[in-house]
Amino acid sequence: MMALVVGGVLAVVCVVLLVLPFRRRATVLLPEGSPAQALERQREAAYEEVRTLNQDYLLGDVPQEQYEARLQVYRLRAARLLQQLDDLQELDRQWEARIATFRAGDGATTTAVICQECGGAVSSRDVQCPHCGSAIAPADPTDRGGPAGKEGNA
Amino acid sequence: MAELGTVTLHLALVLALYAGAGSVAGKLRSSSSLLLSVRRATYLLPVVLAVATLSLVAAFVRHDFRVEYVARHSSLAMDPIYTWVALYAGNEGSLLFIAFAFSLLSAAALALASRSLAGSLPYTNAILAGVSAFVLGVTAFLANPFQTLPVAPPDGQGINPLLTHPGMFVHPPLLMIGLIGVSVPYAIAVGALLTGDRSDAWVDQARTWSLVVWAILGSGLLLGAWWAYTILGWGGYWGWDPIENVALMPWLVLTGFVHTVMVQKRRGMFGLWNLVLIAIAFTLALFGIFINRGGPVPSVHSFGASTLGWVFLAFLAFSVAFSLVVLLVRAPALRGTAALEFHFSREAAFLFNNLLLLGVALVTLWGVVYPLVSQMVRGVAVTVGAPFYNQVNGPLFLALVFLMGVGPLLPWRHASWAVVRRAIQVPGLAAVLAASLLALVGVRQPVALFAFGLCAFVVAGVLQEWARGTWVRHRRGQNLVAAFASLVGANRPRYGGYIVHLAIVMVALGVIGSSFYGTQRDVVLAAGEQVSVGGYTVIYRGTRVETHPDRTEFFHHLQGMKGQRDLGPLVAWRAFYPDRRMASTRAAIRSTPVEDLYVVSTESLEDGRVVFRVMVKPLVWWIWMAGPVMILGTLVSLWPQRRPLVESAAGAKRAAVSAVPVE
Repeated sequence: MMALVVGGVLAVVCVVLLVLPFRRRATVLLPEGSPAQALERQREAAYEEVRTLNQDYLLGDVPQEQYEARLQVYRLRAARLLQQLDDLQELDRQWEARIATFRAGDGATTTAVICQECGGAVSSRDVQCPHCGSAIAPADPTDRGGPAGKEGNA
Repeated sequence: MAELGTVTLHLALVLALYAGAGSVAGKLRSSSSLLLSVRRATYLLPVVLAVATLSLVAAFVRHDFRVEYVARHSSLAMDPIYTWVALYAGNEGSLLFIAFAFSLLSAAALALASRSLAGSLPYTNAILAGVSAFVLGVTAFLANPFQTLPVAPPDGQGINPLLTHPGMFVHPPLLMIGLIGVSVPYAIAVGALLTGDRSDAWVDQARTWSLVVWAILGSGLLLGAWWAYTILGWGGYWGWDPIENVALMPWLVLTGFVHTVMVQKRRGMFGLWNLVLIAIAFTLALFGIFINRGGPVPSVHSFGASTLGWVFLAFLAFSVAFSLVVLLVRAPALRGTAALEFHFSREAAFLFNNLLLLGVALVTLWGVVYPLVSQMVRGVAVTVGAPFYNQVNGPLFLALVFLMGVGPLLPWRHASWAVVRRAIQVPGLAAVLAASLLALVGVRQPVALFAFGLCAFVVAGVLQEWARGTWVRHRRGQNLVAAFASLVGANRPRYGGYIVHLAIVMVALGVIGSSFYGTQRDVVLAAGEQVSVGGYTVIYRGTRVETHPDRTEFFHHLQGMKGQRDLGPLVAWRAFYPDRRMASTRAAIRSTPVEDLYVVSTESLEDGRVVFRVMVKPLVWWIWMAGPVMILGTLVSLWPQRRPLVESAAGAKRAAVSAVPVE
């Protein structure tokens, strides 16, 4: 009898824990493998290649000319990946700024700007950056709508 | 306890089914609530199964013979310490243990998964839960260890005497966890494949889990060999028994996988090949469980023929079909862009090592299934013995040792002849020197000389790699210890791998030494008589007899001498279990790095004399010492890597130590 009670309690606890997620507000799905993550992995792989090449070269396993030629190739690849990552991050910032503008209401009373310290999107109502805590300089009232002068790149 | 066990077993089955079906549904419907809920189900599974497992352990410890399984596998007379582990002495309890251990692995795999795998994790969870549900379904409906008897017998039938050995605490669980654990890297890889994720995000996780499972399986195999060596009384440690073989096969394939998965990580090559390898490892692991669970192949330590084996065979067939379909559908998207640039490169060596490992696994598989094939074709089951495996696998293992020595010396992508020549100069010289020295001290077997030379080649290669790397860093200003530590820290998978290579050489030394140079003598001795074998003298002093309810124990007291040097007292133990008509032995072993003196009593004659088998087994000590070294190497390989700045080696070479920032 005791055993059945313990088993029953365990079953009830399981059911409660399994049902709880359905009673909450819709949770956000964990981020899928994003393009930025894929690029970061590729960049890490490129760095790994450089490290291995360096090691082989230091040990004398790779001749000078081959080493320089390959290093050049890897660096170009890493630079390309970095450029792509920068482009993606820039795009993110612009979108965040636009979202901030949208959330701020009609857009007439607030503007979205970018923190000079960390590059995160902040509202012109903010006196402090929500990302890094730096003080935000008052926005230029003529500058509206996110990353100034960069809409064309978005 | 039996009722609680049954309730929790069924509850666990429901949880596993929910986790499996819910993961797929949650992924297809993009329902975050459902995915979170099924994730919780996977975390709850080990909690519920812990209750079930502890219920069975408690039944054993309390001698609850109302539970049929407890009555069949324990008795009042058995050593109480073994009641704690008797749960996996039979088929039903070991299935419950497998389900519990696997639920822990599944929960850990999910909890430790990288966020970059979030997309494929539901499929991974579904596969893990599917395997759990199968094992739990079989346990609950076909092999329930909580079945009760109408009337509890006054005593149980007792445990198999061969299982009352310290090895019982570690060897069976490690092998069971290792075999079922192969499902984890498989589920991670196939989960990514099902999602259509063409990136290599799954590689790191699959590599980590493969290494963990590889080390568990490897330790289980070594401990099994040690158990056989100490208890079975034949002086050997590996008999190519089907159950040993089926654990060895996935280990071999995993060995290949952990090598080529590094190539995929670094060079983006072998993506499809790695998926095929992990699918083969998974299939072989399931095959191992099938053989162990009453498959049709006779073995000294399977659970005996039963219908359960065919249920596992059906699951194996389903898994093979599933893997094939997934691979065939997704294969076109997985072809790597990089190609082998040169046959003398590290990646090429890895590929050849893979082919050899697969070769050994396939030869072993052929040996395991040959009795079935011969039964079908000729109507007679012909069992393949150790000579077949030794003759076919022996040369393949030697080639593997050679590749293990050469591979790490080759650079990635391309190695010129000059580089290869320079890299193998010192190890080659060491191999020749070692073989010559051994020949001088009397080693005459050409194969043994060649094999010892290969071992020296590998060791010298590893030491050379360490020395060169350390020296380069030392020249850049670090002291030798710091230079060595930073060398290992800079590339832990590589240098941890070298430690594992040393462990493999240690095993090879033991195998070569004991196979080619073991001596043995069977003698009948009366108290006070002695025998000389291989430079040792063993004097039989007398026997003390102890009687227990279930057995009679004989303690044969001996004294060992090496020349004139007294080695002290030795005790060869033997017990006879009249109810089971079984004898169990424990050899008297004096072990040194050079050789083992091994004495086992095989029979006690009516006139008081005892039949002894006395053996001298060279280098066996190294096999057991390889275990900790292998685990150390695996831990170094698995330890999280710090990411140093990428710097110019050319600059460093010019002693400028100029860091070139790339970020």
